[in-house]
Amino acid sequence: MPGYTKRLGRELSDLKTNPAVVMDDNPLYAGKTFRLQFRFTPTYPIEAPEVQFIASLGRGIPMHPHIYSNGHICLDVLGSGWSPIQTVGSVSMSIQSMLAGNDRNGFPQRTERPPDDARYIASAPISPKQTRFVYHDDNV
Amino acid sequence: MEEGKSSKTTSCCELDIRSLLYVSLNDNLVCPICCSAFVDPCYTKCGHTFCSVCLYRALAQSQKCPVDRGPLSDDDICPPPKILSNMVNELLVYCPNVDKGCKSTVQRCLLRHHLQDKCRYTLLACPSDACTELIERRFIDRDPANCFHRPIMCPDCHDSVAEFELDDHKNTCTARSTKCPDCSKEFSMADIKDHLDTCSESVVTCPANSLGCRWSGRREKLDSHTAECVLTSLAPFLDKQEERIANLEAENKTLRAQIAVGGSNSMLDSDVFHIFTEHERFRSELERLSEQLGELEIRQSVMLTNQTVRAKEEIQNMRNAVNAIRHQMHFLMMERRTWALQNLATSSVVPPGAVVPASSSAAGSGASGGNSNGHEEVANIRFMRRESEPYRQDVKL
Repeated sequence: MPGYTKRLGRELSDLKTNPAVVMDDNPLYAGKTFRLQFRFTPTYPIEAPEVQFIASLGRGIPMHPHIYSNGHICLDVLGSGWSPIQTVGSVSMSIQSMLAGNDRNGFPQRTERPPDDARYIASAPISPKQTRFVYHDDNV
Repeated sequence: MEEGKSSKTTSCCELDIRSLLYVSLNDNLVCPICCSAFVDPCYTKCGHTFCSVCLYRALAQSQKCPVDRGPLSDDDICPPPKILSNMVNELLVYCPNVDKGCKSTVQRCLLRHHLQDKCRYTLLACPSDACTELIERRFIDRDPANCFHRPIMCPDCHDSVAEFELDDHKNTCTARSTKCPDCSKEFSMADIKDHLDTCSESVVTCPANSLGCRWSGRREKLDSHTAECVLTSLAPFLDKQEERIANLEAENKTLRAQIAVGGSNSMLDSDVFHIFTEHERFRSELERLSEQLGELEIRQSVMLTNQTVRAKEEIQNMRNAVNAIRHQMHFLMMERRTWALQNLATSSVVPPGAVVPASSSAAGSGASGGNSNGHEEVANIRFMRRESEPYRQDVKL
């Protein structure tokens, strides 16, 4: 795929000048730091990158009904909703707004893991892209 | 990447237009998929423009417009307006050989021509028959017998070196000697570096230069300067201070991080969170209750209206019944009255034959008796009618 390696370089320099940050004060995540991992296949940007949260020292996996405890994220733009015009910046924005939208409707259960978390992580594939998520909940 | 590509430009067919460097680029001329200026643009029925290659690749993956996600098939793609093709073709780009020294900027559509026929840095096959190497165009006019890749002998070390490598070799050749720029003595290339660090003639600056000492002079004078330089004597102390400050800064940073991490997990935070959720719970409870209250109110008013309507209907029925009764009574009264009047008439008709002519003298008593009788009847009727009147008024109320 000629030309598409150049695109990642451009995205990187764009992110340096203009980082994709959503200003938000959701008390659930205030002051915490999380680490996102992007893995790009040679077919990027025609196919979506693999994106997941990575736990490390001082960096956990955010509590969210669409984020499994192994860091996999159930978000349509990372699967069937991917479009090649999306960038690392736009995906980061989507995930940030997913976090920011959490627990805004007064549901205390929004601070928990997905209901099938234990079952999923027991048999989860290494790459989140190999999971066929069902996007049923548009509230968060 | 640039180098790998430009070596390919010898064949000049595999020019990667997407990796070119543009002199200036309008964001409206950038393909949203490859993020570089349109190459062979095409236009969708929903009004979006992409490079043809990018769009067909995206459509092979999913039959949707990448921008608006509307359904899109190969038939919905048409060539762009001519002006767009012209605009992207006329964009100025730097020659891909810019890192070799080509300073030209050309219109993108003319780049191929530039590389093929003009650029002095394009690699071409060496004109020498025996040689299979490539050389840049600027050297191509040399005598073919004098091939650029022909090995020649280094005049100093007598190794054989390709001619085009000779310039690089000269800087590294160990046998070659050179002059020290300061003391003018001859040294071999291997030794000159060491000598430059110790040459007593070379000009050096005070070691406390970074602290503000402006002194510079020959190296042999340096010792006498450092002996009297105040800043040099202070330097160890200042360095220690500097080191301490750096350590404190690092410590401060880690402490800050610890506070940030610990603070978010502390009891206080969970308490606040608990209160927050409790508050949310109460709020939803309150909302539920007020909703119920409103519902009850509505039900109450509907019930009330229903009952009132029923009562009104009943009153109407009763009124109708009373009216009917009144009519009946009226009819009965009328009947009775006519009957009474008839009675009166017969009683006054039968006696006159005997009484009226006979008693003109006793007319007073007879008439008065008859009169009094008739008055009584009338009074009776009046009385009965009167009796009905208050009753009527009662009903009207």
